[in-house]
This record gives sequence, structure tokens and C-alpha cells, in this order.
Amino acid sequence: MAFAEIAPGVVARAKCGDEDAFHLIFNRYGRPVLSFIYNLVHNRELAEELAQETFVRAHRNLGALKDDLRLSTWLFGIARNVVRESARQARKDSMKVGLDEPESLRLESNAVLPEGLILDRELTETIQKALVALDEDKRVVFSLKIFHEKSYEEISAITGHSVGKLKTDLHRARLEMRKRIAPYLSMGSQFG
Amino acid sequence: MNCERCQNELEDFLYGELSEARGAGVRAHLGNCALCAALRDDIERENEIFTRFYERTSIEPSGEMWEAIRARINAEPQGQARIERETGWWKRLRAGALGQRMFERLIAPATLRQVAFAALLVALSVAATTIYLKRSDNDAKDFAGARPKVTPTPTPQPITTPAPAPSLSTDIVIDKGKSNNNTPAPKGARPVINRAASARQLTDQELMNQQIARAAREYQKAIRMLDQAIAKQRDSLDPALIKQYESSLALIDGSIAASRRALRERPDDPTAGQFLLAAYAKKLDLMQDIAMK
Repeated sequence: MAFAEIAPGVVARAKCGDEDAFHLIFNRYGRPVLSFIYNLVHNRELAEELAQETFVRAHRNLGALKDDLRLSTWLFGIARNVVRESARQARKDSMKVGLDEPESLRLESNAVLPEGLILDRELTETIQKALVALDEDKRVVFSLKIFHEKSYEEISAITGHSVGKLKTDLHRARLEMRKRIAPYLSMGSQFG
Repeated sequence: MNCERCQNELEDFLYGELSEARGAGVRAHLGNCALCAALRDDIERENEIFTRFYERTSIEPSGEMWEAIRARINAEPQGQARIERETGWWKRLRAGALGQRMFERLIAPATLRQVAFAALLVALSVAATTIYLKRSDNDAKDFAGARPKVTPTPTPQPITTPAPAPSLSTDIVIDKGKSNNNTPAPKGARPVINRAASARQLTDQELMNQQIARAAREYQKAIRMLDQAIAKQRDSLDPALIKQYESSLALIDGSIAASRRALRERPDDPTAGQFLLAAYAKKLDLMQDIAMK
């Protein structure tokens, strides 16, 4: 889940307009950024659209990135803003886009699957639903901390929230998630 | 440390967010308290489940996504502005670190000598390609000069046809939109390809582009090889030198990117190709300097 920062010099090259260098950045951070957005919107098509917007904005504003070593934090920050704008726009348009409509994982009831696999799919779906049930702030901090292993300091830079609030939100998010997955936890090693 | 405090700090302890002293306190308590240790195990099990969930549900961006991003980036007006801003790169290179030959030459270690020799061979190959390119260019110009002017060529007239026949241009290679009698072709009709004329067109513009692409590939090969050599010795180099090197490299890479974009936008402009090759040559030169350190 954690990923190394990109090689030094690449960001500087991208800032100079080197398209290949920016492609390297996309290759390195495309997956975490897209997955982060997907965790927030739970709609693949929308997530791809917003990830695209994130990287276009990143390219446009790359010159404003002061510390090249904080590229990933910066990208996640843009992604988060893009998602928020999209949600605002969706509310304005009175359209139900993304945030409250998780794409359910299809459990193929007719297929003959090993019991462990069925349970695994169920668990995945349960976690997805639990994530959607979290309010936005909790979902963001949970995703950044648990899935992307960001530090409180980095999450604070991404969200603008204080470390104290982040800790509280994360703890509450964990409690809510724990409640949902508790039945599966007792099954222990079946999910290996 | 008591259980309450340990449990309050347990999550942060597992995230690695506690200071060394507080982490040591939690660790010591966990060693003596079965209840708190069991809670730690639960949290770790949860974390494993979340990790697996992320691994299963994270999405790999498609190639199409990059293409879409790239298209949008290139469509932005500032992309052009950036190219224009960077056209002064030769000036900056001359005035900057590269122009001043700031790096002192040292005797290269044996392993690097091999790399330098290999790079030299590639550079010679590039030079040969470039000479060939120029010759091809001249030949193409000569050919273009020798080519007869395009004049309407009357087609043989059937005796029974009183009207004059439509003229044909000898330059037509692929007539996509019109048929030979200059009337619009029906929609969906396949273009008529004049193969002889197509071969002639290749000697003009396409051959030039092919040669530029080939030379660029040769440079890229040499650059990759030198890049590996530099990476191996990176730790032994002076950090200030590395910093200067990277900043110069970024400058040249910016010029390469700008030239490549210019070439894409104006494929028939020979200057863009020359700029691209010159930038590659400069990059190779810089990297050789560093690799020989």
C-alpha cells in the first residue's frame, strides 16, 4: 500500500515540460490516486473522470509545487478537492452522482464458488458499504491512513484539518468499520 | 503505563505515529498485559483485512486514461506558452553550467571506461546517421529540384471522345477526397493509392523523419546505458555535483520534450528535428561528463 516517492529530478523535469517525466509521475501515482478517488466516490467511471481531472490540474499547476518531495501529498490534495467539487456540483445539479451510490460487487449467486471465496467477496462488499456509510471526513482520513499509509501530518496537509480532529475522526471511523466487519473477524484465517 | 492509556495510544503505536519514548512505553505494557496484547492482535487483524481489501479493489489506470490526460494537457494553451518560454534554452545552456564546462575531467575507472567507450560507439553511430540524414536531405532536395514541374498531363484520348480529358497531377499520392476525374468520391470509397508516387514521397519528407527517429533512438540507447552507469556510482559523487547535474539534466530534458512536441506539431519542419537531435547530443555529452567522474 505504501509506495516510494518518485526518483529525484523527475518532478523538476516535468516542471520544465517534459511529457515523459509527467508520464512517469502518472505511472507512479495513477493507481493510488485513482483508488483513493474510487474509495470516496464508489463509482469507477466517475473515479476515472476525476482522476483524469486531478492529473490535468496537477500538470497545469506543477510550477506551484514548492517541495518536490511532497508530490504525492500534493496530488492527493488535488484529488480531494476535485472530488469535493464534483460532489458539490452533483448536489447542485440534484443528480445522484457517486458519493451515495456505491457500485455493488456482483455476487454471482448461480456460480459455484468455494465457500472461502464467497465469504471473501461478502467481506469486500461489506467493507465497501461500511466505507460509504462513513461521513466524508472520516472516509477521507480512513482511506489516507489505512489504505495509503499517510502520516497525520501529510493528511493534515491534504485535508487542512488539525491532527487532533484527524485522530478523532480516524478512531471513530475505525469503530464504525469494526462494527461492520466484526462477524468476519471471528472467522479468522478463512480470509487468508 | 496503565491499560487505559495504552489502549488510547495503541492505534497510533501501530501506525508508527508515536514518539520513541511513548512507543517504548506502549511496547513494554503490551509485553505484560494479555488484555491489551489481545486488542493489539485484533487491530492488526483488521489492518490485514483492510490491506487485502485495498489490494483487491484498487484500480490500475488504463492506458486510455493517460492518453486522455495527455490529449487534454497538449490542448491547453499554456502548453504552447511553455514551449515558447523554453525556446531560449540554448541561451540558458550557454550561459549556465553546461556552457562553462564546470566539471573537471578525471581519469575514469575501468568499468566506466567501458561505458564511455560504448557511448562513444553509439555517438559515432549517431554521427553517421546524421551525416546520412543530411545526405538524404540533400538528395531529396536535389531530387525535388530535378523533379519536373507539375503540369497537366493529357491522358490518351479515345478517338470517339470529343471532350478534353481531365488532367492528372503527378504529385497526387493518395487522393482521399476526389476521384481522378475531380468529382467527389462517394462516401466510404477507398482512397486510390498511387504506389510509384508514394515511394517518391518517402524520399522527401518521410525519410527525413525516419532518420531523425532513428538517430533519436540511438541517442536514447546511449542515454539509458549511461543512466545505469551513473546510478551505480551516484553515492560516490559529490551531492553538489549531483544537484547541478540534475538541474542541467532537467533543463535539457525540458528542451527535448519541447522539441519533440514541436516536431509532433510541425512534422515537416526540419528545424524541430535538428533541435531534438542537438538536445540529445547535449544530454549525452553531459552524462558522459558525469559518468567519467
